[in-house]
Amino acid sequence: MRGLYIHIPFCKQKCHYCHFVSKTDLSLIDSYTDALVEELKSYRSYMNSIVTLYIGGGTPSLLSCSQLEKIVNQIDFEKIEEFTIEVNPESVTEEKLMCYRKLGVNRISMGVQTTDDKQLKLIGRLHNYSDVVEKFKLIRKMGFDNVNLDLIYGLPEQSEQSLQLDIDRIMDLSPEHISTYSLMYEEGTFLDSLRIDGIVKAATDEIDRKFFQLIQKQLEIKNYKRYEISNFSKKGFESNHNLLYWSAKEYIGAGVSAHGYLERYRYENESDIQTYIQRMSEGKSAVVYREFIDDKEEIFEYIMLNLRKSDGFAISEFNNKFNLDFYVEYYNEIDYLVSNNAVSIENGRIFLTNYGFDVSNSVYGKFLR
Amino acid sequence: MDKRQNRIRNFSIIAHIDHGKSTLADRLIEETGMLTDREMKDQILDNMDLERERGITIKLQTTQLLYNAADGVEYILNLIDTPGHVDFTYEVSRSLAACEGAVLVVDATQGVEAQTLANVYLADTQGLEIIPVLNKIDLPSARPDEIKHEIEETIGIIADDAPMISAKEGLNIGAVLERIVERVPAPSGDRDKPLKVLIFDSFYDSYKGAVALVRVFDGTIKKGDKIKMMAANKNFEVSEVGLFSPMMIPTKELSAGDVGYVTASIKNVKDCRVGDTITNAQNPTAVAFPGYKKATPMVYCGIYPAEGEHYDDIRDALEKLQLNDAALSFEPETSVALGFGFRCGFLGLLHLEIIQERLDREYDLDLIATSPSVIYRVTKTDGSVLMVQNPTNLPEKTQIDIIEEPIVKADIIVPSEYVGNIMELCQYRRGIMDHMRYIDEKRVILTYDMPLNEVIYDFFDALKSKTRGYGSLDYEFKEYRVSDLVRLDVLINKEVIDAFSMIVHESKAVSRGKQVCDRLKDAIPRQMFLIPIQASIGNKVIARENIKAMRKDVLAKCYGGDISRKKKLLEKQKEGKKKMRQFGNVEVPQSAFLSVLKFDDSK
Repeated sequence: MRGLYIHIPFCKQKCHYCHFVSKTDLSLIDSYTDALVEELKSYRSYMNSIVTLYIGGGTPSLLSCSQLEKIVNQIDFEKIEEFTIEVNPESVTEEKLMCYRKLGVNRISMGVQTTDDKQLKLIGRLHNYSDVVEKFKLIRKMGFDNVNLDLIYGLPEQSEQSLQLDIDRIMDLSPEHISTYSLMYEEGTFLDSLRIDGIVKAATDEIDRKFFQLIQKQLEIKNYKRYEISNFSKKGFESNHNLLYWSAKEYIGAGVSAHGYLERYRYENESDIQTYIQRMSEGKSAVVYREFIDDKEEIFEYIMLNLRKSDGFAISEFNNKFNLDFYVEYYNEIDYLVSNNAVSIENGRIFLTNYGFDVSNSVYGKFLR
Repeated sequence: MDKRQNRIRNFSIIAHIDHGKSTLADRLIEETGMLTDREMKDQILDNMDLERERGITIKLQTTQLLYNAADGVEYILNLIDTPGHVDFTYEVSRSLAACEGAVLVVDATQGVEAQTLANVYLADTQGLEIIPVLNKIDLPSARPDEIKHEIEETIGIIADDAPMISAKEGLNIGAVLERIVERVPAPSGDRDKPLKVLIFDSFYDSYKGAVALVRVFDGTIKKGDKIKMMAANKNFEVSEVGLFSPMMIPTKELSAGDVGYVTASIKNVKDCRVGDTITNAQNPTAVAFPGYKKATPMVYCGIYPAEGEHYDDIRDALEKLQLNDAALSFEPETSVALGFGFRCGFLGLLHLEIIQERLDREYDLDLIATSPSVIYRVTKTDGSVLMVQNPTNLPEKTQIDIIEEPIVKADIIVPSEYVGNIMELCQYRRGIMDHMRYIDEKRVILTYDMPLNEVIYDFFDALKSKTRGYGSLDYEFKEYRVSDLVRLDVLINKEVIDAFSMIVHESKAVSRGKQVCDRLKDAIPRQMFLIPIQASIGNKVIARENIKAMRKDVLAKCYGGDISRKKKLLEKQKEGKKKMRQFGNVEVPQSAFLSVLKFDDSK
């Protein structure tokens, strides 16, 4: 049981907050597609274990149907239950959606980020709110019944009213799944240089948490469940692919700068597109970094990843998997975290409280040996 | 007296800090051609990285120069560099004991400063020939005639024919060398008499063991000689003798008048004490040198291992540093908060900082230093007297009859426009003016009686800051005086952290308490719960701050499965935490300890 992630590193324009690998030179897409095909061939022996497929970016909806088809043809669909593709409101079309259906896509993830057109412009998005509504309706019309919308909060100068409007508008669309991220000022991004120059101001921790709580409260009223630190879904619409990550399961990463976890190795691919294409054409591996996950690392990753999920993990499962006694190993940490209301233990499962999610890095840090 | 001995000149360079002592030393080396250009790094004698960074000399450095003088004779000049900071007066006196002369460098733009006076006084006491030199003569603001006059007036030595040089530009360096040859007497002493050698400094070499820097007064010493350390009463066999160029160069022997080094596989640092006399074990000299007065530490603080460091490693490092630095003292102590550590004595706050940095850099030790303290004399109600240098050991208030604190006589030289600022500063620091004297129309010497605990606590920084760097300071112990002192305790999360306790004057307790709470509030990272920071005297809380509970520490995205990145981030955080100390549930970074000590401009 494995996942497969494929990275499409092309965008018409880079968003100002984005620090993923992406290129605006779209002329490389064809040769990139060929390179991906080569890389996927090298994973042939794993193909029959793939249960989820996720094509992310970048902007996968920039690929033409034939380009996408070339890639997808390398994949064995026998066991795949979930096939997600990320799209942008400005580049997804009826024709492409039709193609997605034909190729077996059953889940669409669309980047909305905010519904305030002024803010969309500020963060470098090319669409506006009316595109979102139009494309969402189109997605529905084409028969997709499992749709995720991405929402970013804590945008520069975002007011509570403006966030409320975002929430109301997204609730009106009623997607099955909502991913919501706090805006990060990543080093080297355009937005971060604006922050350094004092042109935009980052939201305070207080505002950030207040906004999140506002989102959480209203989503829960509408029967969305927070099943992971930044993901909400209606019942039965959790993202299986992402759940694989958070259950410390294996996945293949293909494409530029993709990450994977196979046979106890975490690895990272070449991050320069041209170098990647060249390596593939020369029959070389795309992997530039590998790290063996020993027992100690595996235990820590298990805790860190599983605690991202709202239902955490069953202590008995931990004990069986690692042949340890969780309470004996971590009584100090558990005592500290429970007494500060950062984790709860109920029915044999340990999981983060709402406060624990707010300070999750500090919680994971406690388990680091 | 043999002919070679007549050609030896042993001298030091003394100066106020920044007057160009080390630069002149470099030029002398260059001028006599002892080093090739490639070997000639800037300020070669300041060979500790730390010294070069701070632009100050701490350790003594020694080098031999061969100089062909105008009279056609080649002279052997032994230069012993001296430190320039007020904390290191003791080291200056040690190097002067090995010399017959001293070159006094005075900045021709600044004139006589507090340590110029202090150093001249030391050289004079040793009976050295003092050669004044005016440096920085190339600067437009140089005032050579006024400064010469100033030297004659304030120091009382004739300066009208003093060489006018620029060490930086290499101007007139030859004149200094000529003056040394002419004025500094050749060393007396007899190579045929029993061996009598003074250890004026030492350091530890991992291959050679303890290396003694020596001045031979009588006799000769060579490899294979059986020697005796007279004060330590230990015998050794000499494994090597040599001179400094400034690198160590082995020679056949050292004889009367020479300056150089001796090694003898001395493993125990205590057997190679500065001030001790080396003599020949079979043919000893009758009388040893009186030895130096033991340097008296003025400032104490606790030094403790940070999380994960070993107590024994710190002891080893301190022992090695002590060999280099006779003024450093230490003894084991225990803190409730910090566990096992050492109470260390220092000459002053700079000395303390230097040692801390050396432990960090040269020995790679993570340390925590407690608030510095002076030694208080406490008379208890039962009449017994105890000396307290650790605030934790201050008896209960009810058991104390009187507390006395050390008072120093502080000489402060400042340009006259800053006199007001400095009088205000000294008054705030509980100083009492003794007198004030104009050196000339522009500069003033202020003499104050000041409590030492006010001086060690960032006074020097404050003085520099309030005089735009022009103020200079020298101080010496004067007496103990009765004072209204109390112990200020600091509580983190309601627990007293003994490492933060300090003894302060009653009138300062509240403001100091507020300041400490405020700084700790900023220095301690937020945790998952609210942390009260309190300052108290006895049971009475006099200041309080809260560290609010952490609101957010989250990095939600996993970047398309980039779990390694996230893990690295957490590991980095964890690495940072290693530098923290755990008090109950509260993690306190090392920087918190230092932040409590730093100078606050607003005061």
